[in-house]
Amino acid sequence: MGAGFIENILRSQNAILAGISNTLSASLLAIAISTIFGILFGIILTYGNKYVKLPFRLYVDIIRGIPALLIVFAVYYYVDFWLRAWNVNLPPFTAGFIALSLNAGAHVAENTRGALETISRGQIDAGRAIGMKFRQILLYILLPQAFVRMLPPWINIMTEIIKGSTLLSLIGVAELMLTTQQLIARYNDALQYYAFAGFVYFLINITVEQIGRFAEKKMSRGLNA
Amino acid sequence: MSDSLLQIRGLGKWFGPHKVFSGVNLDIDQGEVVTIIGSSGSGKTTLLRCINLLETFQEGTIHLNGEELGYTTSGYHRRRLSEAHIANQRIHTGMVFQQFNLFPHMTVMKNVTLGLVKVKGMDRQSAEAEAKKWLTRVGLAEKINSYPSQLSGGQQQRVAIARAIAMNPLIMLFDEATSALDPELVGEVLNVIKELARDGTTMIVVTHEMRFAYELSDKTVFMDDGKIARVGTPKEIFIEKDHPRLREFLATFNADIAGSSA
Amino acid sequence: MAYIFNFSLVFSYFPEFFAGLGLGIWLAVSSLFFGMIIGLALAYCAVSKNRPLRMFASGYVMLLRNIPLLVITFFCYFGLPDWGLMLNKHASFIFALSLYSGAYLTEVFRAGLLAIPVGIIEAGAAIGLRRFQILLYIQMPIMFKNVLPALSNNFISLFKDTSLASSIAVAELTYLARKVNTITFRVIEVWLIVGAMYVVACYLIAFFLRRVERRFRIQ
Repeated sequence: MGAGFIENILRSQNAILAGISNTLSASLLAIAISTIFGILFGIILTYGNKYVKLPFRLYVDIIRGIPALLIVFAVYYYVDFWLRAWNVNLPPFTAGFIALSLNAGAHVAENTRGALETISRGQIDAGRAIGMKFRQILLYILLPQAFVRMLPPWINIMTEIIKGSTLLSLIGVAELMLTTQQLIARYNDALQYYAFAGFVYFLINITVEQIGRFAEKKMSRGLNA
Repeated sequence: MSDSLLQIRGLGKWFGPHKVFSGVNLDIDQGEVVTIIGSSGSGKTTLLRCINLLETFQEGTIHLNGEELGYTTSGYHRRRLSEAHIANQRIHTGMVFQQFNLFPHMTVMKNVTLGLVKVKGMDRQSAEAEAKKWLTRVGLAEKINSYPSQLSGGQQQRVAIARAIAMNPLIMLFDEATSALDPELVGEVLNVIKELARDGTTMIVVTHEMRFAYELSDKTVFMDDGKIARVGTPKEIFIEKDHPRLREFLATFNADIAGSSA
Repeated sequence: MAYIFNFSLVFSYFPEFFAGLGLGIWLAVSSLFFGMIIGLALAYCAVSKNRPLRMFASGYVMLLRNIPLLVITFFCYFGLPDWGLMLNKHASFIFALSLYSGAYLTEVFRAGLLAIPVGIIEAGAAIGLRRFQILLYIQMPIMFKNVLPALSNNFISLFKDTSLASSIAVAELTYLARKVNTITFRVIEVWLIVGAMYVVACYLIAFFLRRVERRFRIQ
């Protein structure tokens, strides 16, 4: 224990850093994709007519009823199956961040919808009354107000994505979790390595939350004046 | 040409099978101040919201300064204009809402300049100069950097008036502008509206303030049950009260306008 | 190349799937039970006047909420034996999920405790209720009624989290889905059916819990 463990970690630092890098890149991709599409879907869910809303409503409700791990497996096996027919090897990394995006996108959409619905419709009337098009009303009036309300849950979704990236180890992505297991196999030791991995994730998530809280404070100036 | 500024012909609106109003005809000339009174459910607010196309209507036409609003009607064929086209038409109408509807995340100044910059394409300096002019007119020059949450109801409504009129519309629409205000704040807003009227602003005012309507109007419209029941001068409406439903309605307000019992 | 659907092949696994679903619910209920004990205890720590207790509670919450459940699961199943604590797969997973959910439930119960009007507690003292233990007969029922919606949400999340038990080869629904997928290669059917089972299960749980909420609200 102790010194041997630290030596091993240092010896394997390249692999560990590579693992962390995969964790972060998969997470960042999923964060970006789910945020962009999630906000878009959330806008549609709030302001669309009932026919336009329906597919997105179904998407959100179905995703929220399925475990994230199931989505990861389903996307991986499904896409892998089809690509096998064309003799293409699907990088599990791709299936991984797509699955994470699908899962998180539903949550971002619901989050966006919740925030937008708290804004009174009278403001839309006021925007229209001065001749604004809906695109402008969204950009200058609705979204700025929604953003502050969306931020805390969004930070939460981000940490969930980062935690969800560990699921990718189960489809063979060499992110931190899988790397840790490889180290364990190599050095024939378990507890400390899992504790170490847990500590790294803890640091990453705490950092994300702190940045988020800072951003939230800066943004809520106007509304609380 | 003695064409009125605003011409409403045969306007009708239904919510499914439920009729909101029908057969509405109204002419408003440049500089005229028209008040609309009536009980809630008479359709007066919806009528106002049709004029600036916040509501749709199924029958009739509205012409503002010769241009047909909201639809193109050729013969019996009627088509709704595109949202972009309608948005442009709304530049020529200014509306003040019962609930003010100021944008809470923007300062007073920004509330007023938003439309000038983003819709009319003015540059920032000209927009701010224009905004400052109107905010001074409504008596809120020192509040330009405040946020709506820091203002009283009366002040917020005055900002809303400045926001609407800074767009330089052809006609101003007031939708029960004082109904949501505490009684002691009503006066300051009514005074602003009176001043605007004195300066020749064309306006339609939907209101419950009968004394105000009597003092202000060139013409008063009484709506009842989805129809225009009576149009007349303030004297005809408030003093002579020559319509049975009108008399009933005014009785509920217990307002003896002329000051002497009739 | 056309894909030939064969739903009946996958349907033949229904008995197994239902067993896996049942196991998942059992895991979730067990974890909820232990998690609630942890959460309640820590919630009382979080609102206590004792600073170290408060810090312990918030430390626990911060730690357990930011570490992935998979790490906790592996730590408990593969790591704890190093310290001499060996549990079978099911117990180990319930242990891990209880620790994890305890962190979330601490927040739920803490909010519930803080939402009780102080006046009610004072009234209890005023009528001479003996100790905090008896005040609990006032606090607890009110708090539980308040937190029921949040508890329901938490339980549904717990149920979905049980899918991670598949990573240590517990035969719940996700594990079975993977197994059947590997055996039959019926990719579309398997994941569609299992996905549908989860969605329906979550809906039924939510529906049932909402009725429970409603019954408690009438009182």
